[in-house]
Parts: sequence; C-alpha cells; structure tokens
Amino acid sequence: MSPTSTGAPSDGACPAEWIEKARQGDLVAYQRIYDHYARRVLNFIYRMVNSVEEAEDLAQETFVTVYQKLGTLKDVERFEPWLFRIARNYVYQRYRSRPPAATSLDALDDDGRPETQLADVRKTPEESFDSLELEKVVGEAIGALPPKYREVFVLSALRRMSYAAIARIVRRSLPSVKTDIHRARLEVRRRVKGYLGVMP
Amino acid sequence: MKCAAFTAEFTAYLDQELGASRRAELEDHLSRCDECAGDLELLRGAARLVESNVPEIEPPAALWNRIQGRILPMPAPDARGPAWWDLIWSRRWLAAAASLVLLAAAGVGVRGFLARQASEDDLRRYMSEYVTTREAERRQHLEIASGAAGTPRAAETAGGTGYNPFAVRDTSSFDNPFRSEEQ
Repeated sequence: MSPTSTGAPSDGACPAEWIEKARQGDLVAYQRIYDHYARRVLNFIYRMVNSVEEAEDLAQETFVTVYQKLGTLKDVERFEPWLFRIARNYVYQRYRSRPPAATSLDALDDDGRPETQLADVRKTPEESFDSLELEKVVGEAIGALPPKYREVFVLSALRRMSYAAIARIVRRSLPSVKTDIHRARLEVRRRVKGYLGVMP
Repeated sequence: MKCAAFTAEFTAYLDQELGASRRAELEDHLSRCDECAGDLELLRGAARLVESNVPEIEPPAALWNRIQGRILPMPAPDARGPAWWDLIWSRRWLAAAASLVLLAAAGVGVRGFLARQASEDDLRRYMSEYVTTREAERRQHLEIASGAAGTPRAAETAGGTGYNPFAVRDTSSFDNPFRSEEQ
C-alpha cells in the first residue's frame, strides 16, 4: 500500500551558493533565491490572510527583511525555515492589527472567478463549474481553520514540508505539530466530506 | 492495540512521517480492520480533493521590481553591523552579569545585617544579665542594711522620709564584731 496520495512535489531548498553570494550583495543571486521561493511564500501568506493584495504586500516585506537580515543567518542550511518564519511573523503582525477573514473575497472577480493568475487549468465548462465550486468549498474549509491549525495544514498539505521543518518554522515541538496537522486534516475532511464523490 | 491508537497516526502515515516499524504495524492493522481502512480512504480522498482544488496565485512581475527598488540602496547584508537582536542578545548577557553582581551584593548585605543583628542580640542579653545581677546585688545590700533597722519599708515608715538605699547611714550604733574591747 502506498502511504501517500499526494502529487504535489516538494520544491526543495535553493543552493547554499546563492545565499552566500546574496550575502555579499549579489542581487542577481538574491533574485534567484526570490524566484525559487516567491511562489511558495506568496501562497503560504495568501492562505493565511485570504487576500491577494495583502499577501503580495507581506511577501514584499518578507523578502526585503530577508535580504536585510541575511548577514545574521548562521546556518545557510536553515534558510528555508528561517524565510518562512519571517513570512509567518508578518502574517501574525497583520493578525494583530486585523483578525483573519474567514474566506477570500477579493480573490474573486464579479463572475466569481479568481482575479489573479492561477496555475494552468484547462477544463470543460462543466468541469470548470464543479472546480470553482470545489475551490470555494476547499478555500472555505482551509479559511475556517484557526490560524494555529491553518499554518501547519498549509505548510504540510499544500507546501509538502516535513513535520520537522514545520516545527522549526512555528517553533513548536514535533509531537505538537503532528497532533495539530492531524486535527486540521480531520476538520478539513469533515467540511469537504460531502464533495468527495463529485471530485472531477 | 485499539483502533484509536492507529487512527491518530493516519495523517502522519499519509505524509510519510511514520517510522518503518510503526508503518508496518499500521498496515498490518489496516489489512485486518475494514473500518480503519475506510476511515483512512476518506482522509486520503479529502487530501486529494484539497490538493487538486487549491488554486495557487503567481507572484506578479511587479513584486520583484518593488523588492529590488527597496533593497538596491541597501549595503550588502554581510557588510552590515550586528543585527539589533544580536545587540539585545549581547545586552542580555550584560544584564545577566549585572544581575549576578546585584545578587552577590545583596547576599553580602544580608549577611552583614544578620551579623549586626547577632551582635545586638548579644549586647541585649549582656545588658539584661547586668541589670538582673545589679538588682540582685541591690536587694542583697538592702537586706544587709535592714538587718539593724528592720526592713527597709519599716525604716521608711519610722523615719517618715523616702527610703534611699544609697544614703550614708550612721553606723555608730551598729555592733562591730571586730571592735577591740579597749575601745
């Protein structure tokens, strides 16, 4: 029996050489780092704040701060958890000023379609209709999770990070992270259970 | 082992976070427990549904331009001095050292206070003993003095004056057992 059903690949860490060069002020190297992580960081933040505009602003702050503090990073092997921890700090800073919205509203245009560029989806109109409805249901299921569960769920189920890496990012123990991921999965399953049969 | 012990591990199993022996135990249980196998399939199905229905947003080109515009005037990260939290960290050590010095000083102070208290107690005890001894001596003198004139209180009453234990008395009338007969 195959343990995993998931097809999302783990994106992996960027070469340490890029980080070393960026530390010396090499902006080309830093742009490579940005290109490598921007999508992951942006989508992590987006799932946490449910707003494309805010996600872009917070991603911008994250990458500026990362560059500023790159000289203080002691172990380049820990760059990825460090980067996500900075992104997470900005998310929680934003939570302090405004509590998280339950669902994304600004991500949809007047026809109820996402306004932003999405990953390539070529589907028939029927599939698109089902897909949009499912996306809404799934988005609401994730958005309804309390932040503590949502962050570990997004990092685990969507970003495919290891539990150890997630524990480093959220600064909690491994057993605590494992329990929270399981609880989050059960809650999401409860919310999407009725749609399991209609999956395209 | 009960089903609950396995169902709690389902997510870790799907995420390939279980050790080999635990995974083997769980798979063995799944092969014998239809309820758990069905439960796991529901969880796996929900995970698939979520993963295939979460649209990802793409970073717009303008995002890098905005970031670049802000970091371009900055010095290279390595050329910068220590970060503010490094300074706080070093100050934290300074604060810890200062706390130790304060604690040591407080210790010395408490010790001095206790020593002073002890010497004061000694002095008080000495004074108390001194007063008791003096009182006993005074009583003894009074008893001797009142040997001829009766009790001090009687002498006081007879004389009609206040009793003064230190007054010089006329001892001429006292019998002197050492007086020679010729005198």
